[in-house]
Amino acid sequence: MAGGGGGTEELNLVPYLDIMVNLIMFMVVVTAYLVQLKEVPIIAPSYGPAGGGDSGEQKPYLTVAITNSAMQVVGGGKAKGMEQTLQKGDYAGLAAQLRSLKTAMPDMAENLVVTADKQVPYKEVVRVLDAARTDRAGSLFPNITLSVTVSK
Amino acid sequence: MTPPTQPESGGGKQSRGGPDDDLLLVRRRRKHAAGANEGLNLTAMMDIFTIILVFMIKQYESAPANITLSEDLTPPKSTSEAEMVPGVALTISETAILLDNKMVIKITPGTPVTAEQWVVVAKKLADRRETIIQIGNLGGAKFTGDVMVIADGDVPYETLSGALLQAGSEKYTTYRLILQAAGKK
Repeated sequence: MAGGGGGTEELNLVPYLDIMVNLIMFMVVVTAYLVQLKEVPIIAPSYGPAGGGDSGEQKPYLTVAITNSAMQVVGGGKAKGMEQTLQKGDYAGLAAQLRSLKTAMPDMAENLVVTADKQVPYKEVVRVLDAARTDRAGSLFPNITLSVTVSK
Repeated sequence: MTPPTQPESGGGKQSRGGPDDDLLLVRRRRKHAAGANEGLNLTAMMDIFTIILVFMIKQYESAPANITLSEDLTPPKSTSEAEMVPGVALTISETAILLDNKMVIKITPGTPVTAEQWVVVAKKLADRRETIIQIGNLGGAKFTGDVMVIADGDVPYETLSGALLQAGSEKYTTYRLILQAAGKK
């Protein structure tokens, strides 16, 4: 290093390059194990009767109740008394049912109440949310309220 | 950054006395030129790797929540296309409830969460809210009441709704179910 020769020596980049390559490989591997996440905004759950009232003058709304063996579409407000049961797992049928009801009642509330039995797995609820939110014709019930009451 | 020119090997002035000396000089020049091509210029490669690394780190840190799939925590898949909005992360796995990746309570699969455990969850949610409010008062991000619910697909609805109820009681007003994008692992 003594004299003028030391000033012209180039930095040895090979160790830095090794570190960089290892870091990039690590990041690539970690990224492969990460999942792409999306979200579904929901309205707070509430204990008590879904829909908050049985007035015949109230805007019609629908509640989807998920049990361990079936799915029930129950009407509220002006749609009170309407009740239909679908087989568990028939999500296409559920979407078709919701679409026909919404078409039949143009003043139907955009808000859909979804409730489930205590032991129903979360993934079943999400499938119902997916079926109820949109179908091939477009937006169905974009606003979802989760409730914890299955039966009154 | 180009490599500095190497000094002529041998140093000193070259004598140009005759044809043999000229031949020697040509050979030396050829040898010198061949030697310069032997070493790969790593500087450009270094630049590329640095840019890639910075890009990946920024992409990783910009995600509102990153989770690693496990047997205990596999969120269901959804067709939703809504992008995530950051918030307090309430994670419900099959064996534990976590708040911002910190353990709150352990739960046993198949056993409902007890009232005492829910009290602990509510207290932690309140503590977290107060911390965020204090940070907001000091100029940081304000408390918005957003909570991201990251739950395993096999978690019973009772546990999920209970957690949301506790969050609601602690002034968290906006709930976002975080789900896997359909078709992606």
